[in-house]
Amino acid sequence: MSMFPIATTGTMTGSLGQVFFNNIPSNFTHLQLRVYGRGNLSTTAWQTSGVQFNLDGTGGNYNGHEMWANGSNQGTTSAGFFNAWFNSPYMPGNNSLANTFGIQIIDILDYTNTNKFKTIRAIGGFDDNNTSTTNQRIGVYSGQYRSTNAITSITYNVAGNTFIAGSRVDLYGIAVSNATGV
Amino acid sequence: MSVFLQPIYTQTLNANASSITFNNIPQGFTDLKIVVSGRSTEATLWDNLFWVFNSNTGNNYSANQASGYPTNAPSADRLFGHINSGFYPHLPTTSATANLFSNTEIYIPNYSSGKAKSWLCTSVSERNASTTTNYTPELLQAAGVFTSTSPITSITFYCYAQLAQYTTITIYGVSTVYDTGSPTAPTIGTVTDLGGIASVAFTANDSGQGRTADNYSVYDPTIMSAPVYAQTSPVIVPVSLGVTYNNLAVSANNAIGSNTSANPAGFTSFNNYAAIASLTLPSAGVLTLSNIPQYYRHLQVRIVARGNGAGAATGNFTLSGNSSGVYGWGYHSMRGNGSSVSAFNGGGAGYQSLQLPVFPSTSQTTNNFGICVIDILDYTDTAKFKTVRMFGGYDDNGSGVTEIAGGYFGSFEPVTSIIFAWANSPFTYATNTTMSIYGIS
Repeated sequence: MSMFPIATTGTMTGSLGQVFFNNIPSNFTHLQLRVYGRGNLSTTAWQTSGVQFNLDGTGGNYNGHEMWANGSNQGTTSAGFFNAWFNSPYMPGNNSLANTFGIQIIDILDYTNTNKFKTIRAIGGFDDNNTSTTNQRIGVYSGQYRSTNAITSITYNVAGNTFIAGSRVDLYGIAVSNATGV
Repeated sequence: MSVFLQPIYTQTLNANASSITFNNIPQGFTDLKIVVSGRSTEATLWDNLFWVFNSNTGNNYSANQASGYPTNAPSADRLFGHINSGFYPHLPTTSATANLFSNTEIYIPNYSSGKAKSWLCTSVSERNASTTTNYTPELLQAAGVFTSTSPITSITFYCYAQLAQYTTITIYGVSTVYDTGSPTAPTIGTVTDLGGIASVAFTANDSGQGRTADNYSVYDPTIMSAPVYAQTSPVIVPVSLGVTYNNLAVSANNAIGSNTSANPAGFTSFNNYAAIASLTLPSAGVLTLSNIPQYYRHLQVRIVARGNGAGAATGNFTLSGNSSGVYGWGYHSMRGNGSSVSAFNGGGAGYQSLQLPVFPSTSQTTNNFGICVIDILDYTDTAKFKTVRMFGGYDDNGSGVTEIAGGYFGSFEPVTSIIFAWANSPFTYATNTTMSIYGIS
């Protein structure tokens, strides 16, 4: 088996503004974050979020791109230039359908490799069961963390707002094989 | 555990290479998941990641994709049989941000079934810009099908240029069976000297569901610095010449634990030269020796031949890797016949084989055979073209030919096949014309 839980918030019983996973072991090859979340942003039905590595808030060390759709529209965006975060997928906000949470799967390959910048791939989204399609969103996200340092911590932030109770963030480590198949 | 994901194989390029191939994919899982961290050496244009199943380059692939590039609206395409390979997410090239590699996942359910193989691909490649250059950055979601009903047993990944150093690909097996106990210890078999290599055979004694082995390993901590792994028997272990190994045992491993065979074998290797195959060359046509083991350092081919016709009997010799690419040779040779010396040279894409020395024919003394010895150095090195040295000829007690030649085979691929073809038809070769191949560690 190659996928091992490293850390988890467990199911949140109250609000939480930020998730911080520290002392990430270096014996895996890839990391995967799994987010089941809803934010408390009250002005919209969707909530943005971001991921930061190694408490590195250096502007210009992150950028990303998104391909999104909401059932009637679609588009591509560039995000995060000179930002200090990787913009992760949207999740429901306070005005979204009650009891609805978003799903995100964020893969970070070769997180300890000092020959590579860290490329991030994420899929995520949520459905609002709402004919007003602007309230829901799915997307494929890419990002880069332009550092060859090994990742030892991950901060997940809901853009200054908070997770609500019922949310959950899990971190997994993924190993590789010693056999080559040559 | 909520997910059963077993790493089967991982390859990381230590140098640029034209392809990465995984052979002998075990058939005991339900699905395959492949993770690629890739980059291309392409200098000026874009490049794509291709994949081929079971070396099948027929028109058996199609896909649909949704792709997004900054400043452009997402697009949807249908691809049919593109370059006879799987779908092609774009790879970062040398024009992309340095040190950046793609992040690609390919999921293949029911890969061992007798049905067509559907697959999903999610891939991103990044670039530090808000605009697109050479299709980077790219966000891509695709679904495709490989229409063959054969189980997938091998996968080859390649691109237009070369896969860059540090490109890593891992294949995972996904199963619905969770291990509940460690596997039963295997039974060790015969240890065979392959010339600086020990082939440690074993018989698996899996207890069945819930206690299956994920892999097998050989580890003698008194001499080896790390275990050597394999998915099936035998385990191939590099050994030092003249050193006695007293504890070559085979362990069966899974996530729960390991169990090691009883009665570890003792073994000493005394030679670094091992026979791979000995073949009788056809009287006409082409002979291909495939699946050459990749654990030696060099190869040597020895040919003993005589022509059946009255004229000169010549043959062509070439090498091949896994991509079926056609590469050119460069060569120089010097030939003497006892009274004069002549020199030859050639090279380029049009030279796709090395011509062997002339062998005796019916014009020479009955039963007189010629010989040729060909050395191929570093045949698995992905950072080198393959340098070949050839020495051959015959003597007919008053006449004869001796030739020495050097050449390079212009491919970075590991050599997996040797191809021998007669250069002059309809001349044929006499009975007992043979070719033997040796591995040298």
